[in-house]
Order: sequence, then structure tokens, then C-alpha cells
Amino acid sequence: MLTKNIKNIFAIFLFLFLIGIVSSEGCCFSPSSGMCSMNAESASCLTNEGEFFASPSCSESVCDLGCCVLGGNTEFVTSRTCELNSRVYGFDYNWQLMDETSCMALRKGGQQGACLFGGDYEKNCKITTLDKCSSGDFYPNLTCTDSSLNTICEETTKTACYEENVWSLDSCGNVDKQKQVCDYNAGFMCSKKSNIEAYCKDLNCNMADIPSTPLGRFLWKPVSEAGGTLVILVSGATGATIYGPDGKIIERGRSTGPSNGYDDTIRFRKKGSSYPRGSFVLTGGSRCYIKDPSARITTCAPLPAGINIPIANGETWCVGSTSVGGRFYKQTCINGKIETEPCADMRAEICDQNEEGGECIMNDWASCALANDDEVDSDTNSKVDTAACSEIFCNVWEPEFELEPITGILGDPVEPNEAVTEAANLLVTDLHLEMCVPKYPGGQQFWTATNSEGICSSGNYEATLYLDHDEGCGYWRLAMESDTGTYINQDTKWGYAALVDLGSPQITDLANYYWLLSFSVWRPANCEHYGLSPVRDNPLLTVLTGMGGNSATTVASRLNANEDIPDEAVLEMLDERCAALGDCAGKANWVGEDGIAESDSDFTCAMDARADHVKCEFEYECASWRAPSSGECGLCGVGGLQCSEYRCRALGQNCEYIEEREACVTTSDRSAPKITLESREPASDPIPPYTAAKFVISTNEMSECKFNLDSSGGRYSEMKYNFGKDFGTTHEILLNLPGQGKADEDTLAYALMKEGEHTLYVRCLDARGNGEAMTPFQIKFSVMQDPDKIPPVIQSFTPVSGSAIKFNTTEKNIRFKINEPSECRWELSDKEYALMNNSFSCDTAITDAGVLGGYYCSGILTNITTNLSQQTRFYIRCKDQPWLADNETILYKRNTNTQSTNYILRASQEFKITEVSPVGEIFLKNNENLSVELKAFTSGGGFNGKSICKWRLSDSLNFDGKGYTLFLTTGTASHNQKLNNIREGIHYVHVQCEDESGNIQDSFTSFTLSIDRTSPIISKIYEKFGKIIVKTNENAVCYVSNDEKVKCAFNSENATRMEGSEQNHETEWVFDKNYFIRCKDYYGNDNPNNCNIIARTY
Amino acid sequence: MKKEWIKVNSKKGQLTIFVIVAIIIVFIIAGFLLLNKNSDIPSLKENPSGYIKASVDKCTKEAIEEAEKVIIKNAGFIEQDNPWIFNLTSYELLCDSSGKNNLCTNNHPMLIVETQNQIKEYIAPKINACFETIKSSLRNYKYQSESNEINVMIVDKEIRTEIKKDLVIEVNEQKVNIESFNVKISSPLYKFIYLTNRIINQELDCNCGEESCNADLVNLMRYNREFEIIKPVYGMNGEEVFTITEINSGKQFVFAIRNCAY
Repeated sequence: MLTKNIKNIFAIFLFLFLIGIVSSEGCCFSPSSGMCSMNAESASCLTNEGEFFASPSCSESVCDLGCCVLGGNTEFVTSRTCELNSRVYGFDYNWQLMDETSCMALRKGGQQGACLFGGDYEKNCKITTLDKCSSGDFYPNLTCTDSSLNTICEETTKTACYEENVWSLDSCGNVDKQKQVCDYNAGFMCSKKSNIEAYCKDLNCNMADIPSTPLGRFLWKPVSEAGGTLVILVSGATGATIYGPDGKIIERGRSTGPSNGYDDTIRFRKKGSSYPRGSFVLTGGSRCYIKDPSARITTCAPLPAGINIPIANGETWCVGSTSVGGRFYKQTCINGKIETEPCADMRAEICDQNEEGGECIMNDWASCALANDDEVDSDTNSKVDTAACSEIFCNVWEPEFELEPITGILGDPVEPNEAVTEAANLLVTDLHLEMCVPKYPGGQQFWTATNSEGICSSGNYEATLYLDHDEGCGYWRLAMESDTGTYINQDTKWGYAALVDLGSPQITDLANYYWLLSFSVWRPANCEHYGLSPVRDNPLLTVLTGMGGNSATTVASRLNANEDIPDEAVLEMLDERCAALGDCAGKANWVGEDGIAESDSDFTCAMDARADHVKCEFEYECASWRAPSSGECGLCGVGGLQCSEYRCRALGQNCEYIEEREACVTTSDRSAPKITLESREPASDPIPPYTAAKFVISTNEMSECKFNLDSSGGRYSEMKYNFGKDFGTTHEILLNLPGQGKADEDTLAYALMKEGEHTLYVRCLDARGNGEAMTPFQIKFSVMQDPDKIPPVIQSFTPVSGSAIKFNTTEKNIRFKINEPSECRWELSDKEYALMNNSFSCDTAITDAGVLGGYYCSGILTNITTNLSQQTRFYIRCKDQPWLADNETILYKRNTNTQSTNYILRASQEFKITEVSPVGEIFLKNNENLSVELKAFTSGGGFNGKSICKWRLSDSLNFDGKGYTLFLTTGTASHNQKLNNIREGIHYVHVQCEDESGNIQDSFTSFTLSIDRTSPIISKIYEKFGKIIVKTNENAVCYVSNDEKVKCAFNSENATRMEGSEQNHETEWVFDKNYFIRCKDYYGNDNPNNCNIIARTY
Repeated sequence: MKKEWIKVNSKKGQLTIFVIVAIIIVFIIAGFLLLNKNSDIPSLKENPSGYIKASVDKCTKEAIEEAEKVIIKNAGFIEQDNPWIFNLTSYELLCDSSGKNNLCTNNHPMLIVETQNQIKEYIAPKINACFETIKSSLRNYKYQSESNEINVMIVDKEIRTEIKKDLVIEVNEQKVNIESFNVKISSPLYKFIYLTNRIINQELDCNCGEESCNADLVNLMRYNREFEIIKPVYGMNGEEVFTITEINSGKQFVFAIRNCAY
């Protein structure tokens, strides 16, 4: 057991060793998918059951890609993938070795048709191929809406992309008919506009779509017009095209690469006797108008909007520059969009613009330095090893002295003297400034202390000159070396003479006109050697004339004090060479701003060891580039050109790169981004209904933005929606309207706008986090009310339809409620609104009261029947939005009822008050609350007596000044009111009732209120059938007692209540008894302790 | 104490409320019935086999869709294996180079197999939970099952899953025996991986340091028009992020490489 475990552990270690330590790169073939992976890690390949081959490039035949035919479709895959996919989809294996283009050309749709299934009569249908219609009936080449098939599928106006073309869809969701062919090769591709609409999208791009990019100053400079070719040098771009006023291409420039610090040299052929004149559109979208050919340098502007310069789908081109911070980018038009792909930063790659387009390629700029030697090669008389100076990546930089034209003594322009120019250049050649420099110098980390010093220091220059005093002839002469034997005016060697003086035009001496060189080859007869001796206005001459015999110290001090030494032209050459080396002094950054570093030079002379020698030393230091003290950091990343630390730092010393955000920020930035509303589409306010609104804002620095709709929110992090997707300076959103689907793929699921006024509250956060609690930027807008497409609705009538009108009348004033301000009309027969003649008076404007309580119309309806067995029907129609009268548009129209609202009125019966009570005399108890129940009953009218009644009382028949009071209970045919605290005596009552039909009826009655204060009297007592019968003069209750002790002073509790009621009472006859009888009337009046009667039976 | 939560002024008002309440109840019942109908899960008593298969199908599809959502953002992985963080976003480096001007090494040459395994690992516990739920809904019936085996296969346009599980259920004396479940969802994952493979191979078909190494995305898109391929992010050290978008669905597969580091 133990042995087995040890073996297992050993096996695991061996495996780990194999995959971990012996892991290598090769080709991995996946038998389960058929895919091959180049330069694959062996361990990962083997552990996942792949097959591993040593060749990283996957040259094995199993990795060959070929064409796999799957029905009507093709795929460019390996034979194994083809085998697997054929099996998955049930096709025969059909794989051929060919290229991808040929393979795609084999694509064709399989024979499709309508597959019918389900249903006995109308069948469901699906468009598919025969092999996928196993359970249905297949009709090849027919669509589901074909009338012969009788399916449930119907044609619709919906369209979709199918087989790369636009097809209509049927109601079952199948493709139906081809509507539009989108030819990819012609620059079109089917694209979905919405879920129900597709179109052929133009895949070409427009030059105007290229983001405006701050690539720097766009300069052009005609260099020569010789040989029928116009040559221009441009900065900030590679490549240019001349477009005519109509936007058509006149000529594409032939790009031949950078030259003398410019990013590209572009040549245009001469057309006839003149050069092309038009708009030079530099690749990248900037355009130069050469208004004045003599200006030679022009700043170009971005391409104006609205100019359509098409760029074909798939076309690629380069943008970029060699300025400090400059980077090359390859831009491609892909399916209608311009994609920007940066080449490696710091110009480790450049973009190569050729006839096939642009491509990022390696830039081996560093190798150029290797071609520079310290010593002059005796064979080539050059310090540059031209064989080692790569033609691809390097240039041999050679100084060129160019004389400027001067104004002659007569004021006329005088062209440079060729002989003099040649002589000057001969002087310059002997300086040996030539150098192999990069065509596209790489970028340096100039912001670190010493990083670029190495590159720039190769542009340093040193020279030592000697002034030798010829004792024999008494002159100072320029010597090359300190020994006396070698002078520089031998043959064609001029040594450092150009340093001291390339000279300047001399116009005073016409004989030696343009003999600018102030030296002459001179050997006076008494001088031992030829020498280059300063003559005329040469600064040396000025210094040295008459100095013969002066001490070397004095000469040196005078030379040092002379500001014209060394020659300015030579310094300019050295500066130019310095700038050509890389990010060194003299260059501008990628937005055209100059750096602040300047190259330095020094010229000092001192007495040499030999008393007749003065040694002068010249030093030129090519300084590293330094960024301007301040720049606009936010430009980094603009226009889709990726920012980097190199680009950021080049903008200014105040710029700092934040890698996590890929943003360039101002180091002292404590401010929130400043937001500007750039555009709004549609621009009209209010925004029309059913229109999505696009808002574009910009920020003064890279930032990300959020917004709330109609709520300011507290802080950035609390805001609800993203304003665009990117961290940048331009931010865009599209707001939808309710019910509106996504307009296109770019639409984001933002808040929906409703009609009314809105405010977008926007906050932006920069890379430093400024803006979290900024005051939100507000964008106010309003959305038009949705067009009202619904006719007005009559909601209720007063009186309700079917009501009876006032008895014996034929007119009725009615009122009804509508849901919106309208105009309404009526007729006795059903007609269109326009034909109705009778109008109501209606609320025609939106009011606060109307919004809360509704809108009303009122009017008098006439010709109502008086026949109780009939009714009169009125037809009412309304038309909304009265304010649109004579002002209707296509979108906003008035809506009219197309159906009448019926309203019925009928005649009513005579309305009556049938009874009012009390009437006559009313007796009430003594000491009782005096109240009576006033009642009234109504009948007839429009609602069978249902009415509202009110009453009033008076002491007399005169009711003047007596107000009405509504019955406590009224509204039906029975009306009640309890009258309290009524005094004794007569009361006259006036009752008035009115029903909804307007019938009014009055009733007058009276009643007298009396109080009973007397006890009842027994009017008769007798015996009948064994009972004692008692009769009282009023209704009463009688008690009888036979108790001889208390006699009449009995309590009712101890006595017997006599049977009977009202005025008749009886009790049992018992022989020989005294009957003490006391009675109490209904109002409580009795005779306490006194009997009404005492009777005795015998 | 008088309750005032509804104040009805008239009988007409009361009637209106009753009508509204009645309508709401009718809608709730109708909605409930409709939802039940739309669930497409057959009745357990009437069709026990259909009930179980539909339940497993629904559950598995949800799990695969969840997995797909995660892995397309992570270049085929549930959790990134070799992340490169840039601009606050993490990207999976499928191909990484160790030194200056070195071609990157494809660390995941068997990406499709690894992705299948990732999906399998992700969905397995969810499918097990699904079977537990089914089991509890069948507590009144006989239910026997054996441990399951899950196979995931990514093929063109689909992710297919086979769940092997011996399941015996007795419902109303009806004995149902199920051996496996086959579930598939539509997915562009295969094409994503195919295109990723081709992009990386093209980037590697290059002499690093001597030429610029870039896949020909334009041609890849030309021949695979249902996809859009862009490189939205470039790092400072040869890193490139690729986004492959299936145009119709909007699904995006994201991966990064670090090739020919500077």
C-alpha cells in the first residue's frame, strides 16, 4: 500500500515536472474542436487533452485552414473542425484546401421553402430547408404568405436582415420577400434600425467623420517646383490629397517620407503648365487652402463640416507626427465607422502610408546612431557609415547653406550667387556636421532628468581653432592645429573656417559682389605659408586688423567679446541637426507648442602655450527637450487618439498622467470639469412628440459624467444615469420618449421623457475626482404635448338622460360634463358634427378648475314632447381642442365625435303635494317638550313624487319674512321634519316642493297645539256580565283597589290596572266590596290620593 | 370608534368601488392563469415525465445563460486567470509575453475545452439544486435517483448540455424512468472562441521586433459579417484588448493579449 502511494506521489511530481518545468511553446491542436493554436503553452495544451507539436507556427497539415461546405454555408476551418461541424449539423463531410476568399465565394443559401405544420385548414408555417422540415409539408421556393398555401401567416410592413439583405417579415416572423439587396462589395450591409426595420447601411465613411484631432500645426511648404512636380513638406500628417471644390479627388499626393524635420514629403505632379490648386486635405482631416503660394507656410484648418469626402469601407490611412509627444495612428473605415488603432507609443512604431493604405510598422530609429563615427572616413570624407545608415529608418542629415535673396541697391531682388553658395557649402562640408539621423526619431522620456540626454548629446559639437601669428609677415592666420606646419587653406580643406564666419552678403563692394566669404587664400610674398586670412568685414578682421605683434591674450579677449562669433548660420544648422535626433531642443510638441529648452554654445579663446598662438574652443550642446511650463492637458486623448504619459507630459510641465484613467490632468487641478452644452437634436424647443432627443455636452477636461432627469441629486455618485459611456471630453446621450423602442444600437436605456418641462442635471468627475459635489449643470428643455388623438367624452348630464321635464313645458336647460374643453352641438336626428345646427355653451380653454373638476357645456333643448307615453331623443356631438380652430397641422388636429351621445327627455305628470300633517288641533301633555312631526307627501312630477321640500311656519296667514327650511328628511316622495318647542296655539304651515324636472308645488295648512292639564272624569259606571264597566271622558288608564286601609291613596303598583283602553275600562265584579278607582289620562293628568270614583258592590 | 378608511358618499359610489374591485380580482385571476399557462411546464399528475424534463430544461437553461453572461466578459472564464487591469477594468490576457520584443505565449490553446469545463463547474451546483427542488416537489411520490454526470459542449451557434442521471419516479402508479436530459441554448460562444483563436494566431504570425504584429481584423469581419471586432484599449506595454460583438444580440466577448512587449 505504502509503495503504491509513493509511486503515485512520484507520478504526480513527474507530471508536475513535465508540465511546469519542461513547459515550452509550440503548436497545440485540439482534436475536440479542430482548432490549432500557435506559440501555445505545452502544459496547458496537454492537460486539456490537446496534441502538442514542436513547431510554434502550426505548420502541421492538421492545422491547414480550408473550406468546409455545410449545406449552403461555408466555413474557413481545419479539416477536423469541418468533420465535427458536419457531424453536428448532419451534413456530409466536404472540406477542400483553399484560401478564405475563395471559400466565402462558395457560400450560397440552401434551397429553402415553406414548411407547413399543424392545423386542419389554415396551417402554421416556417421558412426553412427541406432537411429541417421533417415533421411538416415542404414547399420549396415558396414563402409562407403565398396564397396557394393558405397559412395563417400574413404579410406585414416589418423588415429584417436575412442573408445579408433586407427582407420583409410575415406575421409568423418568417422572412417573406426580399426588399433590398445590400451589396457588401458596393459598400452596403444590412443593418437593423429597430426591431421591426432593417436597411442597407452605407459602409463607407466620410472624411468629416474623422474626429478633429489636435495633431499640431499643419504646415506646408513648397520646396521646389522643378521637374514638373510640386513638392510640399507637411508637419503633423503623412499623406495628402487635393480635392476640388466639388469634393472630388483631383490628385493623391505621392508620399515619400519625412525630410528635414517635416513629417512627410508629398509630391504632386504638374498639370500642364500649372500646379494643382485646390484644397490640400491632409490625412487626418485637416485642410489647407493655398491662398497665397508665395506665403510658403500655411496653417491648415480642420475640414469644414458638411463636405462629403467619402472614404471606402476597409480603407486605412495614417495620422501622426514626429513632434514631441507625437504618435502614429492607423485609422480604418470599418463598416461605416472610423476605428483608430495606435501604433506603439514613443514612435516605437510608425504608420507606413502606402498605396494599399496605412500600416503600423516597427521603427528601428535607434539603429541610426550606430552609423555615426567619430572620425572622418578618409575614403568617403564623411563621418557617416552610409551602409549602416538604414534607408528604411534613417536619413543622412547634411547641412545645407542656403542664401536668402537680397534686395539690390536699386531695390530689385537679387538672386543668390551660385558660386558663392557653392563656396559656402564647401566651407560647411568641412565642418563635418553630417550625421545619420532617424527618419522618425523615437520619443524619449524627456521629463526625467537624464533620459534623453544620451540621444540629444550626440548632437553636441566641439571644435578647436588656432590663430597663428606669422612673424614673417606680421599677420594672424587661422590654423587648424596648434603646430605651425598645418594651415587650413591647403587645397580644398577649410577646416572650421565656417564656424568663424560663413559670411554675409557684401553689397558695398560691387566688384566682389556676393563675395561674402571674408577670408581669402592669401600668402604674401614674405609669408612662409598660405593661410586663410580674414579680410574686409570679417569679425576676425575687425578684431585682428592692426593687431600684429599684439599679445595672444589681448587677441583672445577681443575674440571672446565679439558677438558675431561663431556664425549664426552654423548655429542654425546645429540646432536643426539637434532637433532631428529626437526629443531635443528646438522641437515643438504635438500640439505645436515649442519646448522651453534651448541649445547652448560657447566660444572662448585663450593664449596657447606658444606665444604666437591663440587657442579658441567652440562648444555646442544639443539640449534635451523640455515641455512648456504650462499646457492644455485636456487635449490628450481627444479625437480618439489614445493618450499616454509621453503625450501628456509633452503638453506641459503642469500635466500629469493618471494611468488608471488613461487621463492627462493638470497637476494643480482642484476644479470640477466645466461642462458646455454642445448640441441638442432636435434643436427646437419644445421637442416635438415622438422624437428621441440627443444631447451632446463637452467638458474642458477628460471626465465621466452622470445625470438625473428632473432631480438634482446630492452628489455625482448618487446620480442615476451615465451621460455617455466613455471617459472623455465629449459625452452624448439619447433620451427616448415613452413607448418608443430603442432607435438603434447606440441608444442606451436612459430615462424616458414625458411631455412637459424637464431639466437634465449633469455632474462630471475628472480623473482627480473633482466634481463629486459640484453644482449640477442644468440643461432645460421641454417636450411637446403628445397630439391628442382621442375625441372628447361626455361624462354626465344634469338632469340625467331619461329625466322628465317640468309639467306641461317643451324646453329644458341641461348641463353636461366633458373630459376636455370642447365645442358641442345637438340635433333631434343623428348627424355629423358639422351638420348639427344647435350649439351648447361650453368651456373651451384649459383651466385649473377644469383640470380638477372637469369641463362643462350647457344649453336649452327644445321641442320636447308633452305626451306622457313618448320621449324626445337628442343627439349630441363634440369637437375637442377649440384653440386649434383654423390652426390645425398634420400632427395636431381636432378630434370630433363620430358617434352621437344620446340624451332623452320626456314629459312629466302633474306634480302634487298630496298631504301635509299635522292638521287641526293637537293635544300635548302638560310639562312636556312641545314638538310635532311635520310631514309632507308628494306625488307625480317627473320622478314620481321624488322631490326636495322645504317648509316655513307663521302665526298668521302672512308668511312675509319667514324663511324656508328644508325638511330634515327629503329627496323622496316622503318628507319629515320634527318641530320642537312649539308654542300652544294655531300655526300656519307653508310647504313647497320641487322635483328635478322643475315642477314646483306649494301647500298651505294649519294646526292648533293644545295642552291637556285636566284629569279624566268617569262619566259612567255600571255592571255588565259580571264586570264593572267604567267609561271616562277622555282616553285614560284606570286602576282599581279594594284596600280599605289606604282607600284612594294607593300606589298604582299596589293596585290593579283595569282592562280596556282609551275611554272603556272594566274589572271583575266581586260581591260586597268597595272599589277605589283612579284614572290617569294619556297626558299624565290624574287625581293623586283622590279617587275618581268609589263604588260598592252589593 | 368610527373607521374612516373608506368614505362612501352614496350608494352609486359604493357600487363603483365594488365594480373596480371585481375587475381587479378578475384580472389577477386571469393573470395567474395566464402565467401558469405560459410556464410551459406540464402538469405533474398528467405528464410526470414532461414535468420533470421541462423543469430541468428551464433550470439548466437559466444556469447556462448565467454562465455565458459571465464568461464572455472574462474571455471564457468564470474568474479571470491572468488579469491585466487597465483603466479600472480587468481583462483576461489569453496570450502573454515575458520579455521585450517576444511573441506572446498562448496560455489557453484549448480555450474551448477550458470554457466547457468552466460552464460545467458553474452550472453543476445549480443543476443539483434544481433536482433537489424537483425532488421536494415529488415528496408524495416515489423518487429514486443516482448521482448525475454533466457534459457541456460548445458547438456553432449553441451550447449543448447533457445531464446523465438515472431517475425513477412513480406518480399515480405511473412509473417514469429517465436516463438523461439534453438541454441547449443559442449562443455565439463557439464563434467567439473561433475568432479569438484566429486573432491570436494572426498576431503570432509575425516577427516581433522586426515588424508590427497585428491581426487583420478587417478581413476577419469581412468574412464573419455577423460579428464586429474592435480593439478599444491599448496598453503601454504591447497590451491590446479585443472586443468581439455579435451584432444581432449585442453579446460581447472580451479578451486581451500582451504581444511583443516594448
